[in-house]
Amino acid sequence: MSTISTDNLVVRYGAMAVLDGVNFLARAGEVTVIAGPNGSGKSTLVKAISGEVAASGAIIINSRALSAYKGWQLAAQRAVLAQETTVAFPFTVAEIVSLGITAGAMRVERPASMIELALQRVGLSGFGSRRVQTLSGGERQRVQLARVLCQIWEPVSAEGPRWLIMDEPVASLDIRHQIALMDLARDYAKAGGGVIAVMHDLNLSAMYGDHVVLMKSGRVAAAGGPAEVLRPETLADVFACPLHPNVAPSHGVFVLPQSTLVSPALAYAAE
Amino acid sequence: MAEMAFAAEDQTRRSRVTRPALPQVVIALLVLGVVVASGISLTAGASDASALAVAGHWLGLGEVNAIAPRDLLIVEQIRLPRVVMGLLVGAALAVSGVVMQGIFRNPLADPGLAGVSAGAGLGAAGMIVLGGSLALPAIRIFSYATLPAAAFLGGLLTTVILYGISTRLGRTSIATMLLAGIALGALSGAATGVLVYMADDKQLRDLTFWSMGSLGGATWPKIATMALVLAASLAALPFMARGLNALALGEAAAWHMGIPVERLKRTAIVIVAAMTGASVAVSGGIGFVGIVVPHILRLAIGPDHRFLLPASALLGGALLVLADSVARTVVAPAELPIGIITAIAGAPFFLWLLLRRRNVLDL
Repeated sequence: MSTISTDNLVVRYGAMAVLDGVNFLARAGEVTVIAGPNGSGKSTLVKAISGEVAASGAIIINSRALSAYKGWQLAAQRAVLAQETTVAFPFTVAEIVSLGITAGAMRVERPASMIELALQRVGLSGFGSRRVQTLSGGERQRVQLARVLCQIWEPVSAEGPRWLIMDEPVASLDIRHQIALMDLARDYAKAGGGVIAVMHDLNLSAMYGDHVVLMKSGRVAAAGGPAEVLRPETLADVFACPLHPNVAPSHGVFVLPQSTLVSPALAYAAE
Repeated sequence: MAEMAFAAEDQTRRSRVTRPALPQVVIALLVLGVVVASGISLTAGASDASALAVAGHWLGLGEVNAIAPRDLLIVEQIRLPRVVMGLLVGAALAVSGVVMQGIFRNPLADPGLAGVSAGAGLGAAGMIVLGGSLALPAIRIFSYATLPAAAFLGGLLTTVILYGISTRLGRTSIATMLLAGIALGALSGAATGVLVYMADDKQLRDLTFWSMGSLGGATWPKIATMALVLAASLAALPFMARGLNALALGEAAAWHMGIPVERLKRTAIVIVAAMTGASVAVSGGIGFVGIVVPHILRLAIGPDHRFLLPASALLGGALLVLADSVARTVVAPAELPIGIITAIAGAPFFLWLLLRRRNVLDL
């Protein structure tokens, strides 16, 4: 089966259960969005799936238990883009991206020309010889995206679909680059790969998520298609603030936030 | 797959060449540099013994009696072991600097600054003063290895404590690391002081002689011990270079790329402790090589550990041999401890480095 799934997943930091019995499912060919308030366990879920934190309960990647993978086998099957990656030494952009090429167990010979190809794909063509430290936050994030893409270049391998796992990937990007990154992720899923993304922006979640998982207090509060999950009652329960989901004919679901005090228009009118 | 829609605009920004030299060229030049530095060191000294004549003699050139036995003795028995020892110790110090900087993810990490050398020194001093009373037969048999082994244990213990204190959840605080290094160094120094106080006259002489930091005590058995440790450590490095590169992005990112991070860190810590311990045991405290050499090379060829590690070994060896030549000649016929030379050259360099990084460092 071409899925990543968890069964009764529990992660504890000390006595506190950050994940408390999570049953999660993501299918290859889809963009699965994980959303939810701060501290709901989104990042921890992604870390558990990436094999980064110890967890009890089952994690299955492509019908095989996570624990049955060796580190390099995992690296060949999934890549992880963090919210922010700091680089310790003055590496060039090309050197960073090339780390993705040599990651994991590469059966296929990957040419060095892939570096420039990946940089082109993230809109950083010609940046290869620049030092990473001289770039802006958004550019650095796209360099990391290029590296991650090199690691799982072909969306499907002999061992099944490859997975692009992203933890708040668009946090440092402006709106245009947010859209560009999510377009790229959607393309990856359309080509047969799997995409799992932690997102804060509910509108991007609705726009790009084929499957949305809402987390609350270490559990899954709701899961399904955007229209199914992003409903007033569910959102009010999960985020504990007034949100107004709606459907635009051209757009699908969108979510409008509202001040808890009084709407801005009314505030001006009262003066 | 579609490319990001904004490629065209970004292409207008000019890329700059940031690396002045090709790593392979630099490494080739450094090999030459090692040969030249060794030649200078073999020739320089209080005696005017001609290294060229001796080299000719080795190669079977020239008249059999063209060379004075005294010159042969000086070059073969005194200067040559010293040069070889200098190359080995310099390489070990520079490479331990690179490896330590790699696992701590910080260019300011250095076995000397972080108290690892002091810990190794305590181990060595402990062996000199207390080793005799242990009266283990093994100590007599492996007398050349016991001092490095004790220094290794001291260095290993210090590195493990240092890492435990300064690294939390895969993030190393450079401020904590340097401060913990000061504390550990002071503690090791105090304990060494107690040992000096306890030592009898002969041990005191050994301690003093050893702690001055000199290549003067170079003997072939010591060289063999040092060479063994260095060879074993260097042999592990090619397998670590890619891991250290990946580790520059953080431990989580390295793990995501398939690097066995915990194993890498453990191996690196053992290697740093072994090389620092062996260096300290054979030549005392020689500072700043591990911080100056990698930094110069990162500026020249970049931080890729596949090139940085071998290049550092070569430059470290060459620089230490040159420093030793200076130490032997500036106040000839007496000589300065080499640690003084490396500190005079290295400490201002380190200050300059701090000055340059002041805004980044943010202690």
